[in-house]
Order: sequence, then structure tokens, then C-alpha cells
Amino acid sequence: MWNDVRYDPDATDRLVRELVGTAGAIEEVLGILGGDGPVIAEDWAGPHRLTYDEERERLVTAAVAVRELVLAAAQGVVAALAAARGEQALRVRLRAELAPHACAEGRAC
Amino acid sequence: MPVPLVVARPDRLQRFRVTAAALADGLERRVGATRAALAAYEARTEPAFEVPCRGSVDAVDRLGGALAALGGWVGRVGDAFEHLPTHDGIAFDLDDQLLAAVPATPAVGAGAPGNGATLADAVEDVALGALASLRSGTTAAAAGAAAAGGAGGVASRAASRAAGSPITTASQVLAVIAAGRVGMGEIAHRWQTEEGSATWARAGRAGLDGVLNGAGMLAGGAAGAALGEVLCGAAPPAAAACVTAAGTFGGELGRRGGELLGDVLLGDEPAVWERDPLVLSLEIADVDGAALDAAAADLDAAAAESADLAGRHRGFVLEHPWVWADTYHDAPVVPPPPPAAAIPTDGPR
Repeated sequence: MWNDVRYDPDATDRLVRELVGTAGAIEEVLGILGGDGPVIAEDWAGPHRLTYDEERERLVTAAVAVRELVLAAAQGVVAALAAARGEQALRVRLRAELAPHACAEGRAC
Repeated sequence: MPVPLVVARPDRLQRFRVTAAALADGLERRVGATRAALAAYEARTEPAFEVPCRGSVDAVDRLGGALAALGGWVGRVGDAFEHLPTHDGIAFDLDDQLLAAVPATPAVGAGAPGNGATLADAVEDVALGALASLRSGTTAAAAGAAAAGGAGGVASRAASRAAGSPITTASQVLAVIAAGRVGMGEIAHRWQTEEGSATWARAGRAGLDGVLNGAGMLAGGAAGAALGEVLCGAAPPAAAACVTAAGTFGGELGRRGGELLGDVLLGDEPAVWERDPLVLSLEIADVDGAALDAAAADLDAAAAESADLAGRHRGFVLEHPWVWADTYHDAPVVPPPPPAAAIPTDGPR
């Protein structure tokens, strides 16, 4: 309670921006995979075609999951920053309110 | 016994290799920037309030690797067709042995996935681990906040309530970005397609095609999300996933509707757009700055709101210290007495 909470809003903000940017990049990758992916397979027949379809579909699913994961990470970082700020505010207030009582009782203040 | 027939358009398969490599390169650059930001964050944040993000970044890294592997493998199939006779761009043969040199499945790096595993499995394994780590880390941070707030747990509820808004807002911003990019892509595509026609007519048709595609995607996404809200109920987190899925599905339907309408009104266009790999890679590595600023501002506002809610709750708790006095990090509110030698004998200092 007597120590400050260690956090850096600027570093946190930069990380959140990068995570959101990464989610946007994955969104764009998904758009291209969804647009070009089926088109290049037109007129394609042979032993590798089914493998390609399966791989592409599962990769799209995995990319969606990773995009949501990255957004969830950004969300968690924001929530943790808020928690750190609240904790710091609480400690400052507690110090201000409790220190005079501690001094009055003859304890360190 | 039927004669095996193999057919493909080799130029499209080879072009996909270039496109996938550019996308993977862009993701790699983005991962590098994110790792640098993450290192600074970890160095400057107290562990109790730090969210584990390494796994999430690793999953993006794996995704880029899988994408490059798929593109490389598809390109090898295209190479196998390259020297066959073609008709209207389509190469064909009556013997599938020509593909014997190409592995049956793509593999990340030198090793094959094996046991029927796909490229996506490697990505999903890392993503699942990252999700578990993220959940436990986020829970730990929330528990720390709840402990600081005492018996109420209101702080964690306030944090989760405020934390619920940024992902919605960010998703909405991303949807607008995606729709905008689809629209811009269609404009560029149509512009390239109609090279040689009058400039004003070309610009008008390209613009109309872009608006139809982008607006179709936005409208479809909004309609899908609204329908999802009605059908999925309001119990998070399942409702959020359900609404997101419905919105994504609606957006795709809307985009296809807009594309179809554009094709009907303006005529068909070539199926595969030739992209500049370098431009594509840089685009992936650094997405639209203005839109990201908006998303980051939303997240920041949500953080401020969350801090305000938590602060107000804690202010209330502070007025009633007995509620939480014995639960604050399991330590007494009043600091322990100093060592005997340091106790002052002449009253408070």
C-alpha cells in the first residue's frame, strides 16, 4: 500500500495500438484469402485440390480465432491498465487518510 | 479404370504463392513491431497488472508461417503444370503422376505436419495456449482489482463492464475498415480492368462498384449483427460470439450481394486481381493509421471510464473501511509497527 503501482500508460497505449493494428492486418489477410482463395482453385482438379480446399478453410478459421485472440489481448491490457490506475488512486488516498492516524498512534508515518 | 485427369491454371497458382508470401511478410513485420511494444510494456508494468500477450503474438507469427507454407505449396503445384500444353490458360494432362514430386500436404518449414495434421493445427495449438494464458492472466489482474476493492467485487464487475465496450467498439471500427478496404479494392480493381475507356466514365464506374461492395458489406454486417442480437439473447460471452458470427456472415452476404449487383450493372471483371507484392506487404505491415488512431482512442476512453467506475466504487468502500479492512491483500490496513528500536518515545513525529 505504501509503494506506487508500477505501470506506464504510454507503453500500454503503444502495445494496444499494435495489437489492434495486428487485428486489422489479419482482417485484411482474411479478405484476400476469402477473395482470391476460391478463385485460384477454379479449373483446378487433381490429387491436391481437396487438400487445398481443406487447408484454406481451416486456415481462415484459425485466422479468425487469432484475430479475436489479439483483440481479447488488447481488451485485457486496457482492463489491466484501468485496474492499475484505480489501485494507484486508492493507495494515494489511503496514504493520505491513514498516515495521520498512524502518526497519532505513535507508529511510523 | 478411369483415366486420372489433372487440370489447373498454373499462372493463378503461382500468383497465389507471391500473394501469400507478401501477406506473410507483412504479418512478420507487424509481429516484429508488436514484440517491441510488448517488451516495453512488460518492462514497465507491475506483474500483478500485466496481461500475458506473448502467446497471442506467437499465434500471429505462426499464422504468417502457415500462410507462406500454403502459398509455397500451391505455387509448387502450379510449377508442375507450367510446361503442359494450355488451352485458354488452363493446363491439363491425363496422368496425375506429374504431381508426384509435389508433397500431398503443405508443411511448415522442412518438417511435414504428419498424422493428418493441417497447417491450421499448428496455429490453433499456439492460439489455444495463448487463450488459456490470457484468461488466467486477465483473471489474476481482475482478482487483484477485486482484492483492492475488498468484499464487493464491484470493481471487477465495473472493469469487465467497461472492458466489454472496447472490443465491441474495436470490432465496429474494424468492420468499417474492412468494408472501406473492400470498397477501395473494388475501385482499384475496376479501374485497372477498364483501362483504355474514357477517364470520367471509368472513374464513375469504379466508384459505383466500390460503393456497392463496401455499402453492401456494411449493411449486411449490421443486419446480421442485429438479427444475431435478437436470436442469440443477451447472456455474454456466448451472445458476443454469436452476434460477431452473425455480423460476419451478414457482412459476407452483403458484400457478395453488392458484388453481384455491381457485376450486373457494370459487367464482369477478371477474377484474380494482380497485386503488387511489395505494396501488399507494406499495407499488411502498417494498416490505416487514422482508423487505428480512432480505435486506440476508443480503447483509451474505455480505460478512463473503467478507472472512473473503479475509483467511484473504491471511494465508497473507503468510507466504509470495515467492509474490506481484513481482506485488502490479506494484510491489516494500518501498517505494522516498526522495529522496537525505532519506536519514538516522544510522541508522533
